[in-house]
Amino acid sequence: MTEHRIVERVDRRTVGKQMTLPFSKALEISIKSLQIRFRRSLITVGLIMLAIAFLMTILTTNAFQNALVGRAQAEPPRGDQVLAGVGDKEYAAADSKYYAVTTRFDPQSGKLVETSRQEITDKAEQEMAKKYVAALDAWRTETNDLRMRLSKRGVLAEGVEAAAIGITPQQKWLIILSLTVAAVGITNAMLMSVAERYREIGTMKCLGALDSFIIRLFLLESVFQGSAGTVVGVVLGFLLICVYTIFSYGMVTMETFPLVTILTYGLWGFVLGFGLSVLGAILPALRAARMQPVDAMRVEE
Amino acid sequence: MAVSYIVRTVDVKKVYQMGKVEVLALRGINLEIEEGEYLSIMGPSGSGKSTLFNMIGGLDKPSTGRVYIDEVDIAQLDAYELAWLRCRKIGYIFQTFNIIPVMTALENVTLPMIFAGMTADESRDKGVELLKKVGLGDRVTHKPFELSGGQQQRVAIARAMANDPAIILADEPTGNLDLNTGQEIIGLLKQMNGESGVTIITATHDTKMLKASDRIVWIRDGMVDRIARGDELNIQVGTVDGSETGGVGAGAH
Repeated sequence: MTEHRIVERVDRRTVGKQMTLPFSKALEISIKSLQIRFRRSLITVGLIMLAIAFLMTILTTNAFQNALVGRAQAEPPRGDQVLAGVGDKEYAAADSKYYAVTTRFDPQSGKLVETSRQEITDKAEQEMAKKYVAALDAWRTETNDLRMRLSKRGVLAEGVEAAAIGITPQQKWLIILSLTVAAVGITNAMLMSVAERYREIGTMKCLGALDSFIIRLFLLESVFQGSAGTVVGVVLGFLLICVYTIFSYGMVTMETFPLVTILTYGLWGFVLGFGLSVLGAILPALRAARMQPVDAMRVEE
Repeated sequence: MAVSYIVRTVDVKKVYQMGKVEVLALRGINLEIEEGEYLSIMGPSGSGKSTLFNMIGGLDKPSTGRVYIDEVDIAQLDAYELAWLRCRKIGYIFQTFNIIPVMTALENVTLPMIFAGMTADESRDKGVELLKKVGLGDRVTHKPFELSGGQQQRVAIARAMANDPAIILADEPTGNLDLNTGQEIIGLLKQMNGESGVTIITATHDTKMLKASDRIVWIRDGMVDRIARGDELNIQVGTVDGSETGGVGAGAH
């Protein structure tokens, strides 16, 4: 037979240590619950995915545009930047002759201006000059092409030096709206889930589950759905814009790929998505945890 | 010499507010339940039987009056202590079985053990033992939808016994079961009572429960109508077309 004393005044700390819901167990229960309600969880996942993907398209577009505009307005390269190995020498060509030149960059005209010129007679150096000039021409062509495309899309006006492009107020508003819709949708879906599982929650409380266990279970479920949606959303949003930008501007996109910015934005996307799924689930989780077992059982036939 | 009373209610009253009307569900119950007893609470629907049952089980608090479990006033307990009580000392069995559908039988039985901090291995071994004891040794990994009503209730009984409780509270355990299965469940409860000395308190309509009970309490209109010992009753069972119907011969009142 069990100990005689069946009720002990145990304080919160003792009970807190004795009553456990191991993380692995909470994880197990959450995953199984999600498997059963797969279709409804798809809606939640889809909502987050759309909102985060939308956010990522705006951010990624912004990142690419800034990178491309930066490239379009860049100073022409010189010396080693044009052809590896020439050191700080610069070359030009005219009437099938090659010259060693010195230049300076004139900010007013945005062009390289020659300051002196000397003809090259050495064959080897002529070969190098030929390659140099070709590379410089290629750069100029690429730049002009880029400027044309950018101005065609209204990103860069001809002859105007633009500062870094920001996110417009309309875009900000749209982002906030889509995130709010996603949060509300999550709360809705979670509330439905809680209502369906009244009896289950009440039973668990009868088995001795603390309020915190119940909260943990529902938060975990929401975080799972949120993470799945966020990952897909970030990747989707980024890929869409990446493909579109390459399609619009060509391989210069890859040359000027703003890696750090995009990674930062991606991180923001993850944080927001995660935060959203937690925020949306707080209300339903609290509602579930505060249920009295007797209310949960009262399913009148 | 005082018999140890595992549950004691002192003038318990419960009032519900239904809009403007006050409903007196319990109008002063005084009950003493002995340790190791098999007690049945009987009464028609609306008599306050379920309300009293919830009181005894710590699921609800009386409006006035006191409920003592092992001489501790449970109205004094906070949420943590109540959770501890429900986990370790009281096992619940419900009319609708209330097995968690996403978990297998074994996982259902071991859930209270996990809450109580048992390791996965220990709880698994003990869970299998318990399931064998209730006759489900071969259905350990079945999910609830793969089990019949009677089998689900057996899982519920095994789960109630998970942490070796002192009291088992069974709310209409045979309500959703047919005659034979119901009898099996009652037999199982009686077996638990005999083997481990756990106090069993049931709230029920089922007259089959009468033979198994040590004492029976009748509730009517929120008050104790009658208390009788099981062996005092003259229970007459008639048959209709080969199936049993139960009836209670009136003891002296």
